[in-house]
Amino acid sequence: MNRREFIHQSAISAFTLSFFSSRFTWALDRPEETNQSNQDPHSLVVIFMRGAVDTLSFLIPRQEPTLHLLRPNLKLTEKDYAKTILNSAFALHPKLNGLHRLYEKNLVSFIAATGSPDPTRSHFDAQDYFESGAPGMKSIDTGFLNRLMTELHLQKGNEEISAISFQNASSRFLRGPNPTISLRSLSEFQLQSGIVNTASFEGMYEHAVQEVIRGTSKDTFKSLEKIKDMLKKQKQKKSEYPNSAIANRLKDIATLKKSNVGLRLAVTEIDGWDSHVNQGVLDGQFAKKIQELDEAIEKFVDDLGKQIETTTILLVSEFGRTVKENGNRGTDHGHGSHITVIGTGLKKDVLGKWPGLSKANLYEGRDLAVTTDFRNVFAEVISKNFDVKNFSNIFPGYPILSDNWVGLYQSTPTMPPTPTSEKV
Amino acid sequence: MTLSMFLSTVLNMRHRFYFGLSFLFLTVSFQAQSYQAKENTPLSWQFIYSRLGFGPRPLEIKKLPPPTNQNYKNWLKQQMNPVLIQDSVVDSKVAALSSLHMTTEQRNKTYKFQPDLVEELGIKVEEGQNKKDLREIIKDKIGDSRFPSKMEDDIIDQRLIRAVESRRQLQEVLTYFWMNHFNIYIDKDRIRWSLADFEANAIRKNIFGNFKDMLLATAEHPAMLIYLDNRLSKKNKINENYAREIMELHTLGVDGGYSQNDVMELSRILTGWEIQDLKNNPEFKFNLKNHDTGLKKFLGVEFPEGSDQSEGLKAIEMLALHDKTAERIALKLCQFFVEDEPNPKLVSAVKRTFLTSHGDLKQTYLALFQNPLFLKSRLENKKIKSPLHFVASSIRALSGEVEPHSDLRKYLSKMSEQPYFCGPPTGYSMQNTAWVNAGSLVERLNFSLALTSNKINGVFVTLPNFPSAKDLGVNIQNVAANLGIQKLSKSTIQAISKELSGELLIMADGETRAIPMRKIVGLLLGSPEFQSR
Repeated sequence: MNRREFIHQSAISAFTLSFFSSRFTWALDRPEETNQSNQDPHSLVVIFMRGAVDTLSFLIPRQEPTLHLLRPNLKLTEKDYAKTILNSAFALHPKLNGLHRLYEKNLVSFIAATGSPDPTRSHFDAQDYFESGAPGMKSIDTGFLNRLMTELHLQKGNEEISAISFQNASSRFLRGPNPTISLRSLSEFQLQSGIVNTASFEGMYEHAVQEVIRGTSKDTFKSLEKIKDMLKKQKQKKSEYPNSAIANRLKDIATLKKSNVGLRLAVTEIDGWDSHVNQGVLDGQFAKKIQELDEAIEKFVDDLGKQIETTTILLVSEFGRTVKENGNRGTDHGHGSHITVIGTGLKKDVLGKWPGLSKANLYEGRDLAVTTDFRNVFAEVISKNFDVKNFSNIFPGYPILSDNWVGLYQSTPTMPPTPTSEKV
Repeated sequence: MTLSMFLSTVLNMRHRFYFGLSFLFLTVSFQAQSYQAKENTPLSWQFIYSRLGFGPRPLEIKKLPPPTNQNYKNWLKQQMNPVLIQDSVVDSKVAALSSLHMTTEQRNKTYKFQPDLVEELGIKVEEGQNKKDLREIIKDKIGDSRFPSKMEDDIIDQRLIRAVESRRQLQEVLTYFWMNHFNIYIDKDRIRWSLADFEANAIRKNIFGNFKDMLLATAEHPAMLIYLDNRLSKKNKINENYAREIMELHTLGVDGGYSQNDVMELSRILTGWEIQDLKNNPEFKFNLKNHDTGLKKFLGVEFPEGSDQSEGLKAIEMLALHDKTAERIALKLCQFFVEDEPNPKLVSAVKRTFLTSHGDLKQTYLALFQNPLFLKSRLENKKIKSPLHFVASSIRALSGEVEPHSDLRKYLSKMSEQPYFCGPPTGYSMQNTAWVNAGSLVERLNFSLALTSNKINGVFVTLPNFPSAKDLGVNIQNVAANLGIQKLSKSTIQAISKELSGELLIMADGETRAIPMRKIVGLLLGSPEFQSR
């Protein structure tokens, strides 16, 4: 693409954007039209809690007396979570009251005892396996969300921003041949200088010697122009998001979603969950962290407005933590975790088979067992909201069968996937 | 047959013969030439400094002898004995960073959290005064020289000054490598007070020594004991954090063949490794009272009852010299200095030396740096520079200088690699895929342009001369070569030429105008070619 063509394209995209934006405003005025409109495709937002969240302090099992014995310094009582009870078996940490309010509005499902069949307790490996969607297979270099893009026919970079991550390093979820963008934030993504033209950089990187650099840069500059346009338009709106890194990132995702730039996949992260020491109970490091997350998520859902109907948020972590507290009022690396799904049409419930916490039921005699493979949760969400039937490329070597789904939705997915050939 | 016919036939034959011979000769020599053209690309200081340093400094390289194999060997020898290298500019800059030269005890006396300073200075806290007000009161009394942030500033400054300006480049690049291997997060608990000592005495001191010593020094250091919680791991109250990470990250690697049981047994072996006097003079102390003296079985070896610290030393030695550790260290070194997927032959050569030398690091490095496969890798730069490498090499290419409190820290933070601020124990990623993305690319471009406009506080660079606006393409190539770029692609030259085409460089009468160097160099530093080493 030469410079002239590039400028031309940018002009077109600016036009398209303003067209979509005005259309969106129009749609908001007539909410009944929104679902029929093709301009607002469904978006998956994945929030990775890095460092292994203590699932038993997040989604608290109410009927496990052993938990109090194993966690004398970390236990939460009925009194503590009186206002954040989910059902007879589970309650949320009291600091998760925003999430509880969303639950009361039928916007949240929890799946308990989720995870991966791989036994690793390494943060790095477990995160890598999660994001590659292929536990135990180190040779799989692409992320499963990038492979999902192939199924969604998003192979070609077009005028849309279909997949983006907001985090420090490039996203492992999105790694692969299909065009994605990795940023830290929208506001930082600007050429500051004004000395040179973005087209010059575009020209340099168009035929870059390094394949890795080329893959990135092609979309870098297209999106640069687009996002600049978009930010200009939205400057006037003041945000009421709390002041935290995760809130800023969710705000950016909401900005893209509301601008109708074709967002399908958005990935972000929040770290600081590796609570080996002084985890805290009602207050302290863990409580502070979930409060930060809770406030950001509630604001994000509020900001999305009607568009929560075309958004699914998944809150995940690489594994859980030990059932028994360690010697330092903290917890060490465990196994089973949980997944939180936020969106519409979900069952207001805690789903999945609860394996129990008695010694015999624990994984390797010490950790919460896994009864639902995380891939089944993703497959069910994807199947319900995207036109995807075949999961054999998304989750290689792991046959996806709807029989193994927890039943997240009030109505079952209209298109159950065809069992893959690996079915035994 | 007449004579003439005979002669012409012979001549023909000879002609044909010679023709054939010369054709053959040409073919052979052409093949040999094209083969040699690759293999015989001479060693260059640009290559050596790009790989074994933070990039070439043109003026420094000019003073060096031709990069023959012998001179390269001498250079390595000198770089591996850094005290022999005169480095007075950097020495005096670092000497001015006061907190680095104190003992840990002095640091604890000098730098205090705000409430402690309030108490020490006898400041009466009045109602309604918040943290900010108190900070101002302290500042009025004694300035800001006693806040803990001073330690943070100093240690970051020394790393950046040394990376950019030190003549002991191999030492600096290896400090970068090992500090990342044994990552410590400055912002946890009271690590700030111990981190300068950790870098100086656990890492730098052992860089050209033995891996076993380095591993043990890190294991016993307060900074590591705080960071991975081992100081808190006690008999019957174990904390698995350090035991897991020393195996997964510092030695064997995640596929190193240890089990969850090994993690727990090593945790028990390392109980009682504590810190005494954390707040005033933190030092390692083995506390038998909190040590689990019971029988253990770790990696198939029995550790008998009635043990003390010696069993921990034994376990650490087992780990340091383990076959899997050798493999992992060799792989990481090859990945850092060559490419993400290095030639397995190169890795196994380095691994062998690590094992036969019992973890001697000088010998291990030499097995890599003098290996023909390493030297051959100069033909292609496959490693994407990390942000620190990119920033330092940009400034070095422009003979730049860095002052304390420069804005570099801010730029590195925007590029997601602020020194000492990596939270997870994995350290910053050293893989290409982590650093190549739209966001980081734009940050790099912004940095380049700010740098060449001398708009970065605390950093000063000199732009090279540009001989003439005529033969623009050739001249751009020359400037690039001076920046350490081996080969410039057509598209980069075109892009830069295009950028300049808007400006009238040559007047109608042939007179030339000033060349916008900041633009050209900024684009070159932001070019794809400059992103790899």
